Amino acid sequence: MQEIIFVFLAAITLLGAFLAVHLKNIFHNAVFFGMSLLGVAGFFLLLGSEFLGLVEILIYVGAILVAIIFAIVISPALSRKPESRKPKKEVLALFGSLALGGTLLVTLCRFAPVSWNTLISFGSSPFQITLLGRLLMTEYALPFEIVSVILLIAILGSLLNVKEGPDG
Amino acid sequence: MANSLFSYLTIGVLLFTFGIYGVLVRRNLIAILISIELILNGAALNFLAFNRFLTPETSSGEIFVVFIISLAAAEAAIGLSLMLALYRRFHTANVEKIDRLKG
Repeated sequence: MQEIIFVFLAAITLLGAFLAVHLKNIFHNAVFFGMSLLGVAGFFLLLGSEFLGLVEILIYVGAILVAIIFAIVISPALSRKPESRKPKKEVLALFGSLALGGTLLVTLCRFAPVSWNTLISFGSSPFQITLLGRLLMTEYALPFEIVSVILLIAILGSLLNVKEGPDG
Repeated sequence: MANSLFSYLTIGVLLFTFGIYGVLVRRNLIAILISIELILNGAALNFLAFNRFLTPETSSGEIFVVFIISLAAAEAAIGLSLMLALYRRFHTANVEKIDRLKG
């Protein structure tokens, strides 16, 4: 059963990611990006972290994807004409990303310790949300505060960016 | 297969590779933003898989994923607002046409 779920999640994640970068219509890209995000959220659930799976759906699908689609529909020229690509650039990008991904995969296959292939039984020690909350308030309190300041700055900065200025 | 670290790392590598391909090949600013989000998702999946398989008694990988998701949200907000400002000024989202700084 777990095998079937894993293969299904891998299929929708990878297919969604591939179509999200490959299709030329930006609206289709956004929709398949959402499909890929749902797959990643499923992986988080499968790894035993219910909190992160829900956060992934809530923030990525609920906020980031909606913001992206919103930006697409308020600038209509974006969604109408599909972009044209130079074939030379396409070949070079394919070569570059295949070289990088191939290197990573070969490194993973050759140098991964054998113990990484061992199976663990799921449900033996699931993540605890109380532990997460306690760590965020004690050991990781400083990064937590810095992230909240960064989020505040991001809100103010994006408002400032889209403000109609005298020369905007 | 579903219960080994190796398969999760492979998924992470493939997500990362698709993201890099998207950043290199696309010319639309929003599509580049989507590709960067895919890269961040691959990294987050790796963090959680390492945490789950190698040190299941701690939660540090989970905390890093929380930070990655919040930074990705901040980055998407800034990126989209920059896209809107550029679109208003240059009337295009094609990054190869926005080259005023090139001189």
